[in-house]
Amino acid sequence: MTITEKNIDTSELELIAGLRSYDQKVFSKIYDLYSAALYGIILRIVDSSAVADDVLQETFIKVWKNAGKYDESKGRLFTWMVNIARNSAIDNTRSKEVKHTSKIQNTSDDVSIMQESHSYIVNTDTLDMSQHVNKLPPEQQKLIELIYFNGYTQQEVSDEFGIPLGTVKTRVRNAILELKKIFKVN
Amino acid sequence: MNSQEIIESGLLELYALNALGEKEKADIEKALSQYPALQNELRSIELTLEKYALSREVAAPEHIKMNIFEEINKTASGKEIKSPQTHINNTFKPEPYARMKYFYAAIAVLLLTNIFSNLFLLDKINKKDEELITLQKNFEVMTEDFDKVKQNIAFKDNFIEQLATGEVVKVEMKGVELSPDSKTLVYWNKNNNEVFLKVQNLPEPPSGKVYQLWAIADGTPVDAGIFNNIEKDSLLKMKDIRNAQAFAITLEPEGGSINPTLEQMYVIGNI
Repeated sequence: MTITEKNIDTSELELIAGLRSYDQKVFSKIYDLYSAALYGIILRIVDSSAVADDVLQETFIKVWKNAGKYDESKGRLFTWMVNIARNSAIDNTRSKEVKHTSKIQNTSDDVSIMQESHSYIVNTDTLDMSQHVNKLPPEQQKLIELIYFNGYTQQEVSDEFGIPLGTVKTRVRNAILELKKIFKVN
Repeated sequence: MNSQEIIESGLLELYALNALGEKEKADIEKALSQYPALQNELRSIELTLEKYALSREVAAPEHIKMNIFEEINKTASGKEIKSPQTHINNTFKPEPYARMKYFYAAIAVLLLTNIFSNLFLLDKINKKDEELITLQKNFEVMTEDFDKVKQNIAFKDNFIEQLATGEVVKVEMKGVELSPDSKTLVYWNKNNNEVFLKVQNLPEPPSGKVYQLWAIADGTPVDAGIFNNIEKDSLLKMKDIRNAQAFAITLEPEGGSINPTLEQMYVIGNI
């Protein structure tokens, strides 16, 4: 048994193979599995659901067109898709272009992204997610939110919080160790 | 660094979050190909983040999936325009010239006519193709405009519908010392947290400045979005707000602020 097979479950292998051979049935399955999770992430980055709709569509079209570039030795399929979704969402936020109506304002610099994610944490009590994720100390939760949902780099987090790069690494690791316990991942 | 040191460093976590610089990223990718243990660790980090994301999923509108499949099918088949085929009949057998010269001449004339008429048709078809492309473009522009209008109507409809449900709180915001004549309204839907702002009277913001709406919840101001459209009666959709006892608007530097500049407060209204 090779390492790859041991670590990726069969269904993931099937998804990858199907995506690479441009199998639309498999692509549809990938959409059903992951679109809602990606949409959730995109919605936290952009300001309106109309922009989020566009970004989600763009994301899946990019996934389809770039299927050949996905390399499973570098990470899971979902991780790759999240990166595409996050980058598209950030591009769409920073370009300050809200297509559908000029009357909907788009706040879009780092300050407001920061602020938005902050107010999100304060405002969160949707789904059962809160029960899980709110077990995470607020500082750790904010850290994961900024990086996972807003695409902050290690350096940006270090500047934002005024903490050394090494500390960022340790805090992120501790936050994910906590999440592992919450979600019971070995 | 050996694999254990890498695992303990937190680098794999940042790698999975796509938060590393290019060099560190390349280092980790190299290490991943060397140490199987690292791959195991990375998978479990990725699974954790995946579960985190899945626990916060939001169903996307159904039409998106359809749009995506329409789009990929369009690119898959490619829009090829077939060029018209010219059928030239040249299967006659050679015969002795003397007897057949009139026949040959007739054939030659026919062939030439055929070629010219085909060229003429080809040109015509190309022109029609161009016209078709122009029409298609016009149609796309019109569809876009139509979508904009539709979205605008949907936006207003949604707002009216919310008003009708009676769960919308109307907050009148009055001018303070800085600008006593200023007036705005906030409609806040406590049910779905949506916030709409209606400007009634606000002075033109100076260049480099924007207005910022704040929701004040338990004494803490929370950003509810920035705007610079002060056209009377325009309806702006602001950020969702879950909890508030008051709303206020301040003038802030472009991009907005983390905390309100209280000396620049224009209007405030309690709920």
